[in-house]
Amino acid sequence: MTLRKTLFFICWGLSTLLAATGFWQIGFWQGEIVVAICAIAWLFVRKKFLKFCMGSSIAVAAAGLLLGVPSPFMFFYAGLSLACWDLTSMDLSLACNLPRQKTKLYQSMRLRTLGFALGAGIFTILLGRYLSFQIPFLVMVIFIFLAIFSFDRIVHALQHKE
Amino acid sequence: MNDKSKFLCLIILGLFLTALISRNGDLVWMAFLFIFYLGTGIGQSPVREKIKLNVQRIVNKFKRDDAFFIEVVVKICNEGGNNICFFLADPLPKGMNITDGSLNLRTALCPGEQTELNYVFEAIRGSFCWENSRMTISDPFGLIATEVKIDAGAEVFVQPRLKKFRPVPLRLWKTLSSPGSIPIRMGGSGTDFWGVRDYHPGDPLKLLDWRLTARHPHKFFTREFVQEKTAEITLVLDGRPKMELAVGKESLFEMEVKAAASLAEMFLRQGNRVSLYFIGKSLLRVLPDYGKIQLHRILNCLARAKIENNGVRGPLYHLPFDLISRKSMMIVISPVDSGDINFYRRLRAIGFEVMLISPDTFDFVEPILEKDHKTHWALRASRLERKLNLSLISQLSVSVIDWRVGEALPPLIRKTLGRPLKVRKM
Repeated sequence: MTLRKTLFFICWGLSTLLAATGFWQIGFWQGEIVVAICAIAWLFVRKKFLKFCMGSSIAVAAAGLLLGVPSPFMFFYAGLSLACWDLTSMDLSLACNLPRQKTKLYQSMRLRTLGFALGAGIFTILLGRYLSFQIPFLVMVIFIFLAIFSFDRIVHALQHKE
Repeated sequence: MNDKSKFLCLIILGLFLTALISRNGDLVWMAFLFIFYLGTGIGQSPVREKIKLNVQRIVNKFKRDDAFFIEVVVKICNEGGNNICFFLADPLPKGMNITDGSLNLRTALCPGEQTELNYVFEAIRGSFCWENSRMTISDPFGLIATEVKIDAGAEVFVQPRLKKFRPVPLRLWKTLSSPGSIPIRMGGSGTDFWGVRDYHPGDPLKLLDWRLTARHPHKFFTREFVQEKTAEITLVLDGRPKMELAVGKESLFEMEVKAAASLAEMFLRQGNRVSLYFIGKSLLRVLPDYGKIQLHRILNCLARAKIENNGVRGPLYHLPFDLISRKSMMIVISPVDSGDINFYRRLRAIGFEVMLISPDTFDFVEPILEKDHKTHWALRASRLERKLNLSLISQLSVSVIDWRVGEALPPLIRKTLGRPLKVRKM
């Protein structure tokens, strides 16, 4: 089994476990059934209906947060579903290659980037969620201007790259 | 932005809207995961100016088990300073099937690294041309993709397979002035004995007829041999779409091409001058010349010849008569249509010596037709019409070969070309 498939099954298993545990904690058994259906969908129809699997997982995570499931469970569930989505997408994009063609660098670049993106995202969420502090109004205004400036730079960079 | 990045933006937007409606801050934090994912992808996408790729295409043609195969190798080298993730898709010529390899490649290259995409396909006949390759360069996630056209052109011809015919002794009305293998009714230098004449000072001594000289004292006689000249042959191949028929994998036009190739080879081998005209949507021609190089030119032209469905109506008249020598013998390979009689009439009026090789289309399609009463009578009527057309053409002093494509062509040509023609003055 390839590394990406192994990682997919690990992420899939962990995400299903976390989501089921979260719903079990609040005693919402219907949520556990929906999580199980999503898990089966990920296992069997992910290659044909990838966007549907991803969309349904995010919907389950959002619904869990709204129903009062402890947020770390749903954050990790969403993060691991994103990882499953990316790993399946990588699998599909490499399907056109022959076995003898070199894909090691491509795989390692993508997995490294995925790890960085998810790690930074989860770290930021946990930091922002559990560290609360007062921001002075002036600092808030500066942050807003920084955000608008950054948005403009991102759009400019996107146009430049395309 | 492609579908993937649009989908992510949709998720982010959906989470923000749901957070606004439900006033739940945790949903905004969850959207950060996707924002970070998207942001990382955007940050990792390469800048167009910094992309430096060297792409080279190598095309090899080889023969295996009596079939031609073409191997295409596209070598890609990253000459820039950054890692590049790309997807390369090579176009495959129409109607061809890959026997080995893949047309697509998705990989990443570090600076200075090289990789290659290779595939093999079977080629029957034709001209294969690649102008450029489509390459999509993106970030590792494939969110921001830039399509680049890479100049990697190449062209290869797969010539038609020809069958070597035994030389046909030609007896033509007109020949060229250069020495060749066609005997003309004149004395000169040759190999076959023609006659005897009086000795002229300067005649080589080895040509003196000593026997006759001994019988006539004080007189000398010189032997003469039949002069042999070369001929000019113009092959005309009919590429009109309405004349094309295909039965399974067999194509009538392919048989005509093979016949033209084999005839060109035979005539060139005999030392004659041969030219080729292909009349299709566009006119392809090879000007008259001798030798093996001329054979290659003709075979390359036949490799490019193809039937195109939106051909011009009645293109046989597009033959440039002014460019063809009146001394040449024209061999037209064409299934006959009722409107073609005027074309042959015009050829004869100009003064060309013409031979028509007409493949029997009804004989070709008969195996796939239904064996019922109506088909039988329709076929019979069509055959009668064809015979009538051929008969009308042959009355113009055109040598007609009614060729059943399953039969060998050389004996028919030998039978027709080997005997002298009766000329009927127009």
